[in-house]
Amino acid sequence: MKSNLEKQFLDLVKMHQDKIFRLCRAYLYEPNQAEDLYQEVLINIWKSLPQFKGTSAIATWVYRITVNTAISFNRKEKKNPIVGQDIPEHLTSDLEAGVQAKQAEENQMQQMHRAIAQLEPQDRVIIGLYLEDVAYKEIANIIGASTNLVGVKINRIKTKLTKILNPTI
Amino acid sequence: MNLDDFKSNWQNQKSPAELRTAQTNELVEKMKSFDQNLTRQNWWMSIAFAVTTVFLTGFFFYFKDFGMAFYGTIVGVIVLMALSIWLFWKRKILSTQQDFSQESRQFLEGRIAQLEYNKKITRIYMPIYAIVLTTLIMIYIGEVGQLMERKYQLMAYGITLTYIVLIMIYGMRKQYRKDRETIDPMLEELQEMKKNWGE
Repeated sequence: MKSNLEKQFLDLVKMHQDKIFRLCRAYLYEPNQAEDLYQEVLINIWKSLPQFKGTSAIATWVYRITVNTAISFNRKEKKNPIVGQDIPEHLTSDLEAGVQAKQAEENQMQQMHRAIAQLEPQDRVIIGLYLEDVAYKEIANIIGASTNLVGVKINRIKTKLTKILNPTI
Repeated sequence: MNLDDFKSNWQNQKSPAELRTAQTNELVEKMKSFDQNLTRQNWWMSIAFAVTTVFLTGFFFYFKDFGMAFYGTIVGVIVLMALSIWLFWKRKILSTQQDFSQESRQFLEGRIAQLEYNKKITRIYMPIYAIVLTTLIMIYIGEVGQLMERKYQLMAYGITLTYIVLIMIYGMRKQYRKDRETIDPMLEELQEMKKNWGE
């Protein structure tokens, strides 16, 4: 029979698994590395759950654990191999050629992942949270910075991403 | 590509199905055993320490005809071992007691302090440990070697010293390399992150 803690954990994972995984993917480009990180996040959630006091929203708590696990994740031989590489020509040309919508959407997603992978780790965390639609104030609360700083950072990251995605601009 | 428009696409990404099926009892069991493994590891280490201590204490009481230096070296080795075990536990406790739910900047500070502590152990404690242990063993051989011929005494010194020095050099070089490859880049990245979020 499952204990209350186990039930709570499983419900929590069920509710937040996609968000956690997307944040892991924003932080680490390679899907299998992101999966390793995801598993580690779950382990840390499990270990931290008995200490959850409810002083912050559960989503904030989950995001904090995800971010902190990501920044302490052992990246030995796990460096983002994509950093510094250009976006392959065929991805942009595929889009221009107007291939099927689904394919275009997937390519766009792939492009975005590649672009995010070229950002600094701290920026990847912020943009991951931003894409999840987390409010600036909450992002600030998660990383322990001021809301103003988060706003400034997001603007800078957006500019960087635009440059990466549209190098001709 | 407009980032704000892109948000909904981004949020449509699902975690892989094989990870979703992981939310079963199996996963919880795996996590429970993870905690148990850690405890088991610590227990084995403590048992090994206890056995060695008992062995050395036996030496202390069994041999009656040696000078103070002999007993002093035994006590010294036990103290040195206890200190090493304490440092190891402290490192282990620090790493297992990390609060992953705190603000990331605060978490970063703790993580940086922990990595710097690990480096300090390699840079400061390990050489001191090597020198003290070698000295203690040399004194010990000096005491026990009084019963041997000069030739064997010198051989005992030579072999022991060479063995210890080689092991220490190998161990320390390995640890230094490990620090350089894993701890240093991570420290640099975490410090950069802390600086960046604290602007």
